[in-house]
Amino acid sequence: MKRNCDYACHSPEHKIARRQFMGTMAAGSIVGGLGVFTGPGAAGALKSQQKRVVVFNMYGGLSQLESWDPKPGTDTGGPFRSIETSVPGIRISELMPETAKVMHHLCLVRGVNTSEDDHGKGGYMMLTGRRQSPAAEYPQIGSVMAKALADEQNSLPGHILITPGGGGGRGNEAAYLGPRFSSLAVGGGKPPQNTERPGSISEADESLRQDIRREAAKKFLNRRRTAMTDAYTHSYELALRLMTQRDSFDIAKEPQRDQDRYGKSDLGRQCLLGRRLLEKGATFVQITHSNYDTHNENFNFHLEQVGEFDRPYATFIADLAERGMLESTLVVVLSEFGRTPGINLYYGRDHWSRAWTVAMAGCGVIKGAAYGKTGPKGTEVTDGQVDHANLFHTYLSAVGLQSNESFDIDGRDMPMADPASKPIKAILA
Amino acid sequence: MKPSIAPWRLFPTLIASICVFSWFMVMEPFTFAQTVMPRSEAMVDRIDRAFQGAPSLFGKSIVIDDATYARRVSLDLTGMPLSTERLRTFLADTSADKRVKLVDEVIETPQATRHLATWLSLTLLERRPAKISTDDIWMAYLMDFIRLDKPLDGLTRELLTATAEEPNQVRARFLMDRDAEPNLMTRDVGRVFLGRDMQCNQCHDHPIVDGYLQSDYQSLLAFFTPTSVAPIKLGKDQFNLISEKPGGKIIFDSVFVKDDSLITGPRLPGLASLNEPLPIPGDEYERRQTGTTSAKPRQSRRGLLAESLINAPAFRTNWANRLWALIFGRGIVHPPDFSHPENPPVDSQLLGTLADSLAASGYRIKPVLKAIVLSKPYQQPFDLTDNLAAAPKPGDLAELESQLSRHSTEFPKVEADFVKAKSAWHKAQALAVPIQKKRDAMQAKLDEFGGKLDASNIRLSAISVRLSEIDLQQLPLADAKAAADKAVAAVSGDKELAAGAKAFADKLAKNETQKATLVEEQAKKAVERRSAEEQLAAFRVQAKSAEAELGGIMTQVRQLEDPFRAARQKLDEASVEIAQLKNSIAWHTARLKYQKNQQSLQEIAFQIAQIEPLVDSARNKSLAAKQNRDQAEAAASVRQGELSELNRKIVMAMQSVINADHAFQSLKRALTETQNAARLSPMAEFGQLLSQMQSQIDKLQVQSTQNTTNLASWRDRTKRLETSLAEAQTKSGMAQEQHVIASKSADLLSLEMQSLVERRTKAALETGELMENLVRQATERFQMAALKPLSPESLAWSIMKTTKVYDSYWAAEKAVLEKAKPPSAAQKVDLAWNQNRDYEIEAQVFTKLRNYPKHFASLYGAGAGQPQADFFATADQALYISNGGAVASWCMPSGGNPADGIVKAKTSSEAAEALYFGVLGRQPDSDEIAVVAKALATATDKTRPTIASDLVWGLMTSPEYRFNH
Repeated sequence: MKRNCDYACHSPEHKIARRQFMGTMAAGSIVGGLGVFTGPGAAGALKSQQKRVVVFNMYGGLSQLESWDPKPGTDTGGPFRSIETSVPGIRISELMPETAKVMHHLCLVRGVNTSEDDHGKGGYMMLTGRRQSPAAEYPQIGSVMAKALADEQNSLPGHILITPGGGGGRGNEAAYLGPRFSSLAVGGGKPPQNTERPGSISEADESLRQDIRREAAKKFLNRRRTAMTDAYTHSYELALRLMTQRDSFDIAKEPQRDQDRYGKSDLGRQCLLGRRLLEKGATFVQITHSNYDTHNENFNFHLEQVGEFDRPYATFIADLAERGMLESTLVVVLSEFGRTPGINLYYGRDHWSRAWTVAMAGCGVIKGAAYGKTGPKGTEVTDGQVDHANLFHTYLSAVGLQSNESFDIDGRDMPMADPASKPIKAILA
Repeated sequence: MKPSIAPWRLFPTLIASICVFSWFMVMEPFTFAQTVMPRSEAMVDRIDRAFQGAPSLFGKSIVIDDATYARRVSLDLTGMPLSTERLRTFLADTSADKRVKLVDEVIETPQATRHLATWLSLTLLERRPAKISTDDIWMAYLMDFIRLDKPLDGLTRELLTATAEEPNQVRARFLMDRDAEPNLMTRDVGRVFLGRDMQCNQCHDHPIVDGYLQSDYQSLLAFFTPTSVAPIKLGKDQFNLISEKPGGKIIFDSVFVKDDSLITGPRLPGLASLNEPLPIPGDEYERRQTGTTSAKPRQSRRGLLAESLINAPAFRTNWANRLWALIFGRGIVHPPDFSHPENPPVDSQLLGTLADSLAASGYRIKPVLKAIVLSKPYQQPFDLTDNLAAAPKPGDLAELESQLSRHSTEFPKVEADFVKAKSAWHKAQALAVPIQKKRDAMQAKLDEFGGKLDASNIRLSAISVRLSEIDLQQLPLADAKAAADKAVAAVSGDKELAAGAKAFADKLAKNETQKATLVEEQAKKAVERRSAEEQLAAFRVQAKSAEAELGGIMTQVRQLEDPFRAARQKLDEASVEIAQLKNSIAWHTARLKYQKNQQSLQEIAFQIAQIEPLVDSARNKSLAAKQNRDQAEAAASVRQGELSELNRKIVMAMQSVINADHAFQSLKRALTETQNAARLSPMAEFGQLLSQMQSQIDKLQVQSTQNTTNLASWRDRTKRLETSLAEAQTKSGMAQEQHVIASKSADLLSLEMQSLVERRTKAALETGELMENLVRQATERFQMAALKPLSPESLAWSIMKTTKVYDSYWAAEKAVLEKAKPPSAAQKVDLAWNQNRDYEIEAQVFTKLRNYPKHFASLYGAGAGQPQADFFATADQALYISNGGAVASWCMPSGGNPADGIVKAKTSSEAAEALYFGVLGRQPDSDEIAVVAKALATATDKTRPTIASDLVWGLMTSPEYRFNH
């Protein structure tokens, strides 16, 4: 039946997948826009393995030279030295002494070239794995992971943003995956909105009104039961479960010793909450650390910012490793771009997307490695060049997804990652 | 960007409206008898006849009851249920046309107007934030459109040709909210107006959808590439207007096919290229863009688009389908923006009829909506009916399959013809590409020098205006100077007069200097203008010759376009045919399978019924045989016992014979010895002894004889007994055999029964799946009512309506208006006046309550720019309804709402009636009354209100409320 394109997607699966949709729908509470995989990818099996993803978003543009890829002693290197790490041969900035101790868990991708020096566009690319296009919007990594990995029975939201203040409603990062996979912002010790029963409703009232709801639902579902009705009735049960899980968002419940280890900084508290949520079964957590946009006084700011980042991050990695969770948790440290090797008049570094670093750890990523190289002054990638799309494919592959598969959105195939790109095989264990 | 000060010099009308925030004030004056509606009944009839529903629908009509209909239609047309009062009068109405009357009434209410305007807004803007005008003005514009039932073609024209210079700038929202970005416009005009999402064929033919070609995308794009957002400065303020340049041709490559550059002008997907009047080279503009004006071409591509779009068949099909989808929750083509030959309408005839009806009604939506909600397909029940589940006629499926196989066989030939025609068309295009590139370069020059010429002209006319101003000033200034000089001379030494005279002299001199500069510039500009004119003339000549060259090739392209389109149409028709056949086969198969399943369930039930008594009787027989066998065995064992007893006796008798014999022998010996002894020494005692002995011997002899006789008789008996035992044993053996046979047959029958029961269980399980499939297909084909989730806004308004929050606001706002603007006696009975007043009240109520639907939309709605029809249910929605405060407080007893009714009810059935009729618009059944009774059983005066509100909340969160059905 194909008639006008003999170049791509020959496979009859494309169509079959599309038509299978309704059949699959009946099975679970996946409805309408909340499509399923189109290929035979074993999403179910994947879910049972409970893969998790954490993204540290170094907002503003972390300097690779003051962190993962220092060039001390050169005219671009700045004032800081490099130090040995737990992996012989890999040196990082002296601003990260604690991170240096967990280097054997990390994999640095030092040849990132994204050719986009605008904050908005760069951030979009790093979080969606695609270049912005006027006629299409793409879902962010958190939404993709939530859709692909999160268990529907899990009452914790699949896509969580931990911000210093927390609160706020649902974000809008899910694009065609639908609001169900948009982020929920939490933090500041506050549980999600509306998880507390108002004082006017007693326990007896709650149990009565829920009984009436269940009873009425049961009666109606005898007449017609669909994926929609299931998803709807289930949402109330999830809500009730989430109400009993308010503690999951309260780091005061963590041992004092851990609170001390992570420190009193916002980031420390965010990291501890991140760990707590992962342990309670969260699928995707993004922690934002702000702000690295150091056009002025790059070195002073990085001294402070990277200094604040180092301990909580290293503690987080070490804790996950010690608890055996790093095997199933992918941790990514990304940014919109890096910063210029050239130092400007104000001792600042400007936007630089042509040679910078993303750090990964855990899941299917090799450990204690540095992939890709930049030149002696960090002005260009000399080996192992990759871009945002390669990285996005790699994140998906690391958690066991087939990154060339598509989501089926209401009969339309939507590739999970840029179909023209592929993962960085060399760093996938 | 919104102006902070009035740009009244530029757009006097614009600012007047921007300042007006109340939506109803910008509405056009309303007259009651505005349009002559086409007769709805005729349209209803056409829909009913076109609808390929289950045949029995037309024999005995299966139609939902009044209460169900009222809830369904009110939710669909107004986004909220009827008030309980209106529902009661509707139910009590006994007239035959009560549904028609209800629909006529409801569709003209302000609630329906807002609901339909909201739907239209979601369709057009998909919750994009306002980048121009405001949401209030936009809603006012759409409500006006709905209320007056203005035509969709007019709306389309207004939206697509907007320049942002119109009143309110509101019409520019469709373009401006998308930044007039050509690719986004192409995608969304394709989706919203033509029902085709061609996003994936921007860079190549669609990889999955055969019916979408890259040339379709690019030719639609050609309508939008000349358009852009122009920032226009007026004083310190900047506005965004929509600017349009003259359109050219688009040259494009497929990213998958090398060396295949193609060319296209504006064209709608699948239709012929447009005969666009060629502008005179160098004279393409009505107005070029400057810092203070947007550009306007002599020939507007968007104008061309609007005109060709509203005449395209896909336009009316798309809107007809969208109206249907609004009411049925699903398009006849679904999703409504994904119409292509392999996803054809489930019922072409129905969609065609609907599209024709829409066109016949002058693209007014209300007559079509009315016809839809009064049609039979709309009034079908929600529960699966027997006639629907009935299998199609036996030969039907075979017929469909043979048709499919015929079409499939013919398909490759049609496909090959298409590929050939397409390739020829493409080859011709490739030839035009280099010439077009040459022509484009010339156009760039024409634009450059045309721009220079325009700029020179503008500057020259400004100079000449200024020069004539100066000329006008110089004479009076000279006069004034002379007079002043005289005065200075007359009043010598007066400093003020001297200063005055100097001011005149300075102004004169300044004007002279400026004049000299301007005259110099004028000469320079004139030279520039001449040069631009010359260049323009030269490039015009070249452009004309290139145009001529191109014209020849494009004529060839056009000549090849027709066969291409013909081949494509054939291919599309074949694809549609095949897809529809497959759908029909699936539908037939689903029904057959269901039917087969039901039959086999029946058969199994029959067999079970048949076999059940057999199993019982076999079991009884087996039992009887067992008893028989047991009896025979018992009899045999009695014989056996007797025999054993006899044998024992025989043994004992033989023993006693032997004993007797021994005794006899002993006695005999003793007798002999005694005789011998008596002979030797005869004694009297011997004689006595001997006689005693002899008598003993005699006795023994008698006994022995007796024993022998006995023995013989016993032996006889033994023989007899042995025979009888053998007989009994034979009998018992036979009984055993019979028992084995009987129990075996009972076992077999039981096994058979067991397997039947297993089959029944399996079939019953399959029934669930088959039924689900059947129901899904039946609803997709509109043969039974579907479940339709309420839109976020509808859910909010419905909850407010059910809990009478809406009504109490309405009453309050009505009172305020009555007081502020009391109606005259004549107005009180004036229908039009009353309707206008209703709209005013509704506007006030809306302003007070608008944040709730807005908040619901943030929880239940999809993101901006995404399709808004998808359903999803999340915990945060449920958490808001449960704990968000507002909904729980609305549920409390107040002002005659359902909870109030429960509190005031005297009996539990009254309470249940208040609850079920108030929340779901239906009567409770006995189970439901019992539930309410139980909940209220322990209620005290203090707890009764909260229990009542719990009941209302519980019912309002049930799927029966969340979905329209």
